Amino acid sequence: MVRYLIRRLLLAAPVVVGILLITFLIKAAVPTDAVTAMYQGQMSEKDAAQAITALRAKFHLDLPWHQQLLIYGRDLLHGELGESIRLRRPVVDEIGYRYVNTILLTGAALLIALVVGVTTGVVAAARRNTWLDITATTVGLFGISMPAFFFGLLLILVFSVWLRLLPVVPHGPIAILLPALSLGLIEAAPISRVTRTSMIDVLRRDYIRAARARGVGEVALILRHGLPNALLVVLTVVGLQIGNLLGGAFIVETIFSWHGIGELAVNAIKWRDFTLTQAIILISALSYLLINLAVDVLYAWLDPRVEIET
Amino acid sequence: MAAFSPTLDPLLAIKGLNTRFKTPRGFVRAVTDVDLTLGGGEILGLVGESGSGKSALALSILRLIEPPGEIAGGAILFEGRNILEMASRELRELRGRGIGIIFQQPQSCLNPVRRVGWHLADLLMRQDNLGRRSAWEAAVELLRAVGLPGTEKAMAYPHQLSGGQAQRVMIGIALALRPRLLIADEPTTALDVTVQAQILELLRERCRESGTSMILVSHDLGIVAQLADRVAVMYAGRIVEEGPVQAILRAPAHPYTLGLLRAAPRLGAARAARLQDIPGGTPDLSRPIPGCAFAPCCAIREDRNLTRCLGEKPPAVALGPAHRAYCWAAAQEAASAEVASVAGENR
Amino acid sequence: MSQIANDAEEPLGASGWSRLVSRFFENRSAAAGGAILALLIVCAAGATLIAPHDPLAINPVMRLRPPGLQHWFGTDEVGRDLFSRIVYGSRYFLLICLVAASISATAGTLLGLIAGAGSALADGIVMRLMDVMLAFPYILLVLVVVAILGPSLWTGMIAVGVAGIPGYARVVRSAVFSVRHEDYVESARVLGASGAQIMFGTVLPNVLSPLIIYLSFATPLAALLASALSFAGLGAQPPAPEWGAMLVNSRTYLFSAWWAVAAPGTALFVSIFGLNLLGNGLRDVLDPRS
Repeated sequence: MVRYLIRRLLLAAPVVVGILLITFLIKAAVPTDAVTAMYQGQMSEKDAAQAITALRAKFHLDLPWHQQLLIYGRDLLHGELGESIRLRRPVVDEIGYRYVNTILLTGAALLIALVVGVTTGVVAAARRNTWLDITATTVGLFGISMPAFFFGLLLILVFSVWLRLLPVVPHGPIAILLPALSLGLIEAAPISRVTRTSMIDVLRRDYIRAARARGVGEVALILRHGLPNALLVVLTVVGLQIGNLLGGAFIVETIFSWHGIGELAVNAIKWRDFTLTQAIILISALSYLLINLAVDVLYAWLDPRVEIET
Repeated sequence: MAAFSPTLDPLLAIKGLNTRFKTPRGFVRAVTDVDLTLGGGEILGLVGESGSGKSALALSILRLIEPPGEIAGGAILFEGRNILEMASRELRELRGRGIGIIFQQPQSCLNPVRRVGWHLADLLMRQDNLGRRSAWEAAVELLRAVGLPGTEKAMAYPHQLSGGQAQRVMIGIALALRPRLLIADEPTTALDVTVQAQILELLRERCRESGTSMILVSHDLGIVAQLADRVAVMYAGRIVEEGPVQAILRAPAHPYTLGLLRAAPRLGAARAARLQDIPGGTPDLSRPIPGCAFAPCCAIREDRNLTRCLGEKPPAVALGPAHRAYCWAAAQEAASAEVASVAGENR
Repeated sequence: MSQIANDAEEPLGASGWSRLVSRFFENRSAAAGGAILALLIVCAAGATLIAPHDPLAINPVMRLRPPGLQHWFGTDEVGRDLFSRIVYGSRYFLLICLVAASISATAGTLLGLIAGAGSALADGIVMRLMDVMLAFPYILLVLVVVAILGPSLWTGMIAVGVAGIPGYARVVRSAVFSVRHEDYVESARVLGASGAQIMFGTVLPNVLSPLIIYLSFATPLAALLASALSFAGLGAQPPAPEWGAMLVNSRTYLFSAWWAVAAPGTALFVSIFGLNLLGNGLRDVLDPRS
């Protein structure tokens, strides 16, 4: 298992380098450079010129790009993420608690998506071609087409405005409910679809037929014999879905004022604050990479057909 | 090998069974008007080529036919009760415990994410109410009894087993349920020839030991000849001949059975002797066949210029104790033998 | 009789096309999706005729009016007619779909062809690049491009287009691999066709089917993302009547004017749903095996 892990990490190394290069572009590839863009039109020409020169020196924008790249790499190795241009504070201070918030939101949404998605998928597969199945499939199609932000707004409309079940700006743990639902219910749709297809495929297999011939009941066939196999396929899809969830969180956070890194990223881009943007995207991409790695390892551990020991 | 005649209280009695599959072109009749009986402790061989309906027949017994297939009529009496009329609970009780079945591809019949031992232990826990520990020990013991000794075998996953090993496991599972009848649907077809003999021997031993009856389905008359007490030959969904194994091998009455015997390559035959094949292809089962299904390919019909074969269904012709064939040529022979003996008596 | 089974032996002939077209119209998904798309096109093309009011005309007196006779969908916070804005918004939606799909499909197909039909080195380089891009969740890659170029409608479209390239590259690459060793490719080579001729003349037509199917699924996704960008203020900017942008301030007015939220949101949902239906239908028609 350890050797498998090491192998996977080594394979991921070039990808990490690629991620670094791309995030580097956020600073280096800006057509009018980042600092100039920030200050344009905000103060008098002379003041702006002075501020710009000072900041350019501070952020090494006057150096050739390969030197900038080296400095970037070196800083990262020291865990130095830089200072937000706009907020004049170290980036880590800003990101710290927000990162946790986003993870919480994504985790809650994933949980909802899995519970709702797998259940509806199993039911649809077990009751194939009945109204239950057709409803589930149609709702699934809705889910794929529904923008998460619109769904979030609808949820607020229904629960806060019309039904008055929740305050408009909830405090405390209940605050996670609506954002997690907006993300999670929508992501439940593709998960439901995959579960259904996978389940139908599994239920056709010989070992299910053999178990049925031994007198195993339909419920046990589906849940004890079939589901573990079907879920393996779903697991491979979950990795991709987490990417969607993460991305969706970025947008949903702005609707619900959920103080996560997504909300911050959107603001950072609007402010053209490249250090902040860079840091957030870098951390997000690396987190996604790690999560995918974890999913791969989990899959390898769960499926006995995958060779872990070489 | 003891010969049993199916008389009073047979274990299994199939009457007029019809199984068909719905296709865009209409119904394909996989099993047509099949009558079959089986006694306790008896091994019946069911022989036929692919498409003859033998597997459909085997699956029908346990109502394992799934849409678009359906059982269209008839009765299957097991120990007096009609399987086709059983409620689902009763049917579930019957499956495995009354009648067991093993299939052709043993490795795919095992759940790939579970260890081999789990399949057995899980079963024993629920059937004999054993605790986990004792169920596992019993499972290891059962595996040893089918030729897979040691705990590593029990700990293995299905994909780590060979075909022969997997089939041993399936036999172990089937017999652990202690059924009165075991259906073996082409159990050795997917296995190496060397392993085939071992598996067949294992089946024979276990069934004799426990007095379990068996229906052995195969396209290979040779395999069936080794194990069976009686043989039923199927063609185009019908039984064409049925009788004790020796009678079938020595004096086959139906032209198709004759063809099967001749087509089997034999050790020791002259090198230059050509393998005789059976001419003609499989009939189209989506259309009702007026006469004998084998008639178009039948050399004997041609030789004797029989016209009834194509238009009328051949009757059952009794050829000996518990030996019958459905054939006009055989009927003709039986009639002339009758006439000759009457004539001989009158002289 | 599946035309796809024949693809390996010969490219689609004239009769093949007409058969596909008739199957397309028989398929309910495709028909419904096609109808929605047609509606979008009609709205976009005939916006000036269909919309009763100027979508940009501010009228503070009439702000936040509920749907009624004068304003069928009501008005927004500065009194603009929502119905007109929705109708004009179809132009933005179609533009986004077109631009994003063009960028992704062209660049992606090119890269996929190079990777699939070229040398192992080319394949390696291209796929490494694609792997790195795919290491980012879709939206993060989009944000990178927007961060570099600054928020605007065009950067939003370009960003979504660029981020979609790896998906197309992969599909095209695997399609090329599957036909690469077919006999007719070999015979074309033997007859002296150049690499480019083989690529565009023989390989490309057979890559078309999976490409179209992927296009029909990736485009609504791209449109979804672009509208999310506008909603976040990173794409189309107000006062443009783009449906995502129309929702930017809507949260504030959720309580007093729910129609200002419902109209653009529903328009988005229906349009994306229509495209997905179309995709389902196309897939049924082009690849009955699935």
